[in-house]
Amino acid sequence: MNFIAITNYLRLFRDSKFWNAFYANIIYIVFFSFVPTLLGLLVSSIIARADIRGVRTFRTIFFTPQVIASVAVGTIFGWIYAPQFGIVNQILSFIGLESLQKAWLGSASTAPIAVGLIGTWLWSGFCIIIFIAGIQKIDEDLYSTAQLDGANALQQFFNITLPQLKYEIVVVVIMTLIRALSTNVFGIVQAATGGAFNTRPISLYAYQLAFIQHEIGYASTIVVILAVIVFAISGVSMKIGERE
Amino acid sequence: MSKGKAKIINTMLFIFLLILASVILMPFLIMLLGSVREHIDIIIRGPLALPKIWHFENYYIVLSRYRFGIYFRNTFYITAPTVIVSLVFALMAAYSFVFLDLPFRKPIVLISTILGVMIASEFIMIPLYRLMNVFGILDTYPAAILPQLAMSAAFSALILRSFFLGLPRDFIDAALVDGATNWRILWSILAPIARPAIITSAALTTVWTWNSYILPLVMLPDPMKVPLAVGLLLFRGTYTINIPLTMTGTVVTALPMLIFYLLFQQHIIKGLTRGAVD
Repeated sequence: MNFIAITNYLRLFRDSKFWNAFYANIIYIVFFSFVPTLLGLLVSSIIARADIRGVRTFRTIFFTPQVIASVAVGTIFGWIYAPQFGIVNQILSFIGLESLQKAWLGSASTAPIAVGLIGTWLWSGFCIIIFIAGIQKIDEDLYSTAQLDGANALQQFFNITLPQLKYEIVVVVIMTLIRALSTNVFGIVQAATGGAFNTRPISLYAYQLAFIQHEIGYASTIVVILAVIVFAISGVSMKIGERE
Repeated sequence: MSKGKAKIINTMLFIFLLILASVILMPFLIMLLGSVREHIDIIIRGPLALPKIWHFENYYIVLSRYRFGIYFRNTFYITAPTVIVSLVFALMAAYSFVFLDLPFRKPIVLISTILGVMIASEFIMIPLYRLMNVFGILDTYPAAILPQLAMSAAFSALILRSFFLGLPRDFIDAALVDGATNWRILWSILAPIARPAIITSAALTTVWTWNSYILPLVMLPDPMKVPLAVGLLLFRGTYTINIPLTMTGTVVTALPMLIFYLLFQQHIIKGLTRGAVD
């Protein structure tokens, strides 16, 4: 057996394509995971205790993006962001902001964020629903006692809602982080940009190395790194969830 | 807070939710309306105009002339066996996890379920590709079905296990005293009771397998064998220029699961959230 493994790991550090993919993944983590989680916490804490009609219908709608193939999502947004005859640019021209029109997926400065926003669209509804369900399980008395003690809405959020929602937050963060690093992003990017303009995530880079450039060994190295990152993140999140 | 004020706040929150819901539904509407237009019409009247003439023949074109009919059939060939066989295995696995005195039960349960659920297709695509190559089944449906089946069975086994754990133990003991074999207890007593858990598992496996594409992409190099998700990618690679036909292909890929979701939404939401939402 020939140990070229070390060489592969050393190559990784000098491979600018890998680091580009790494940065793309960091942007995706922000937009697929952090933004939807924060948005979900914000919206759910406003809504959960209000008496609103049609909650079931909203739940159904908020979950719809989850059942669509990533490739289909990427294809639809490919048109939405298209430079000519695209939806975003058309809306901009309607409201007189032609100067802001761009090839959203066609430049390295906007493309990664544009792809990231697809993830925000995809996951925010999911986060809102999980957090609403979590908040509705919290004992109502905790809030009334806090109110008697003169705690304002913000204090109630940080002292009751947030700690009580810990389990839900951990579940949501793990799920969205894994999606931001693997399968979900792979299909969306492949359909929307093919990986051009700094949008290629690590998983797509590994796929292209292995099955298009036939560099199986180096591709495997990258997959190992990716798997280690995913397992480490899941492990840390679970530990945080267990504590206390 | 007065009653009138609460009502105003609730109405405002309702409108706010309505806006959020429209943002989420908008891309689907764009897809559906785009799929029945003509490319030249999009260029002349803009992408947001409503279709003047509804070009439903786009669906005929995409299904017959552009292979989406074949992709549809292939998707079915991959999804149906995956769902059925993975459930059979998951039921047997969950039964043995809960009711049999297995040696090393804990590590077995952990490895065969949690690990199976956590491993994404791309972590194992390279070794799987080589494995299927060794088996000599590369470019055949089983190469795409078997790994998908294994991952689905792991997930379903988790759901069924927690369902079985919730059953009263005496129930099984009574059956055992009766002299029923494990096989009979599983298939004639437990399987009918486990119906809700089985439907949840089946619904999720259907959605996942229908939408899966990394495995078919890697395992099925023959463009005549690929499912819809991969087919859509191939179609976009070849004919990106025509927006309506691209959207029609997207509808053919996405609509079956949208309808399926509407039919089984309770189960799908429950499964996707691991029971966090009931």
